[in-house]
Amino acid sequence: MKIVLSDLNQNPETKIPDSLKNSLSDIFPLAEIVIVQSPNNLRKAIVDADYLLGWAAPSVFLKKAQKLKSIFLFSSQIPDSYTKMPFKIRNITGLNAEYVVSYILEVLSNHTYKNTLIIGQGAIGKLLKSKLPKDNLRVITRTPTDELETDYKDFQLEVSKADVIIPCVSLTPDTKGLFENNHFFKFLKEDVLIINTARGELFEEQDLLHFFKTNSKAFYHTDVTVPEPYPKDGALRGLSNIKITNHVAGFGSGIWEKIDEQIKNLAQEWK
Amino acid sequence: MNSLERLKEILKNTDDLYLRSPIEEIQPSMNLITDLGIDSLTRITIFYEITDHFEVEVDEEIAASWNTISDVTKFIEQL
Repeated sequence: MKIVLSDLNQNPETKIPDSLKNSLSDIFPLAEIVIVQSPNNLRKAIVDADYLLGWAAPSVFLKKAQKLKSIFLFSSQIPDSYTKMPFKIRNITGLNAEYVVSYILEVLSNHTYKNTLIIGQGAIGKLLKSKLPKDNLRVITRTPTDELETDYKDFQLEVSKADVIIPCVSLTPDTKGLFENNHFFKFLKEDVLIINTARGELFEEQDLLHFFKTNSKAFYHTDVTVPEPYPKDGALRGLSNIKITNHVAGFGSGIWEKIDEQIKNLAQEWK
Repeated sequence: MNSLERLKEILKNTDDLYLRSPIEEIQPSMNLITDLGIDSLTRITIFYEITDHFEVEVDEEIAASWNTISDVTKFIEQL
């Protein structure tokens, strides 16, 4: 059995720690474990790998895989293309939701707001909903189940009423389209707060620049950008009402121990 | 088909690619980072989409020197 650990992440704050790398040989004593830090080595290693762990590999690499059975991603986003491939895929959604939600609550604690809108109800959206006061909270979801929730068909109406908007959706061609200027920005309140810990690609940089330049009371807080890391002289950094932090919302203290535990659980399945 | 058109065809067939500009509107002078939002991993993805398309083995280090679309099309012309 060959297990490949993809350690391609460029962000030093979310680099896979040595402790986790070291524990892999204890978890899989009979496996060949290959830790790769360069794209070319990852591409070659995937060809005859049985299992892939770590940061997402470009899907062009996965197309070369001959034996791959399962993937465990250390990210809360599963690339759209992965869902069309014949591998069993898991990720850390659920494991990291509480960290992302803590990050969002910390941002909220620094602002005054009333009507809050959560868009999407995966693990993070659900947990966030449970942590926020029910008064003035709305949740847009594909399948509404209670009085706080509404359907995507009411998207623009809900967006227009919100003081705070928190996208909790994955990036797909559908969700990307939700946040285009004509569907989203033109309906926003002039002092809206947007907290984006989902994906930088959800918003076009030009739309963000235009809206936040012309609405100085509005505020955008994010840990996800395009590209990542965001350039020091990037245009968004020129606006005082846009705050960009490193991509760390999902990586609080203890996350690596949780990931290690999850790998141990997977090992039972993979053996 | 010239190298820019060839590149656009390759980009259209690349998974999980979200560029700041529609592929049809890509111009040779566009900067990969500031105009298209291409980060290092996306750059590598495009590099391997190109080399797989042409079925060649080239050192990926060359992709780090690309600044503009023109650099990418020049790379394609050399294959």
